Amino acid sequence: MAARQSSKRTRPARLGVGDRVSFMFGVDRVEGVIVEDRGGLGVGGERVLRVRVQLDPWNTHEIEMPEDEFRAA
Amino acid sequence: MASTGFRRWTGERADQLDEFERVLGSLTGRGLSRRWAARQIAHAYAVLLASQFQGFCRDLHSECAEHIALAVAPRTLRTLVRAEFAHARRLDRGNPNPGNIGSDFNRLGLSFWTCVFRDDSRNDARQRKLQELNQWRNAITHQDFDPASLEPPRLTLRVVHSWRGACNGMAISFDRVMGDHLRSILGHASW
Repeated sequence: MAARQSSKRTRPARLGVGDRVSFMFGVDRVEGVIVEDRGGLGVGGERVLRVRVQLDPWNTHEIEMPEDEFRAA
Repeated sequence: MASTGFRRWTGERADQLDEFERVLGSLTGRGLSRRWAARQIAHAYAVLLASQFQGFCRDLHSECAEHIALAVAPRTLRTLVRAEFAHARRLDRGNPNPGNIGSDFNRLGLSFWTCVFRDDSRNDARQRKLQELNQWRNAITHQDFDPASLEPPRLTLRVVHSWRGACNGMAISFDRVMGDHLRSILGHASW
């Protein structure tokens, strides 16, 4: 467990603020933009990113998830 | 062990707050100009304290939400849980006042302030100081001082120190309360 934590903490950042990313939202893959790097707040120190996603013309949502959940879009 | 949010609070966030102490200590001159500068620094220090405490609360909330989300199965539901915890989170937009803090943390499955008061009897007085800090923070940022209760000369470094002490005490309790809560609902220690 300790080794896993360490590797997550030291892994170089793959994505950054302003990047377009996609992620699974329920059963659909949706796209959004990273708006904030929250740092190593995830389990085992994993980096958490805040992403803004517009699911329809009226509603913008912001979600925080570990970096591993995102793909570059 | 402590949460990452708490370690940030006692590390980089404390360092930034300490900078104000150093600046105040390096003030030279006498009389009115020094008093004016000291007051401005005390005002800026109060605003920074409120913002750093908000950052701590937000960090701790994010961290707890992620621990809970990871325990959810099937995996496809995790993002929905994360979205719900992040949705309209008051600490993302509003002050770290007791109402906003309680509103966000209650959603993680506990009566937050009840647990915080139970954790340490001094938290009742600390919560009142936090309320006071937020009132001053708003008055300073909007330059709108209620003459009945918020006279600018009354805000001294000593007052900000006492608020910081209250924030420190609450941060310890918040970290402990949420650590205990996660252990009780997840069945293992998160930190």
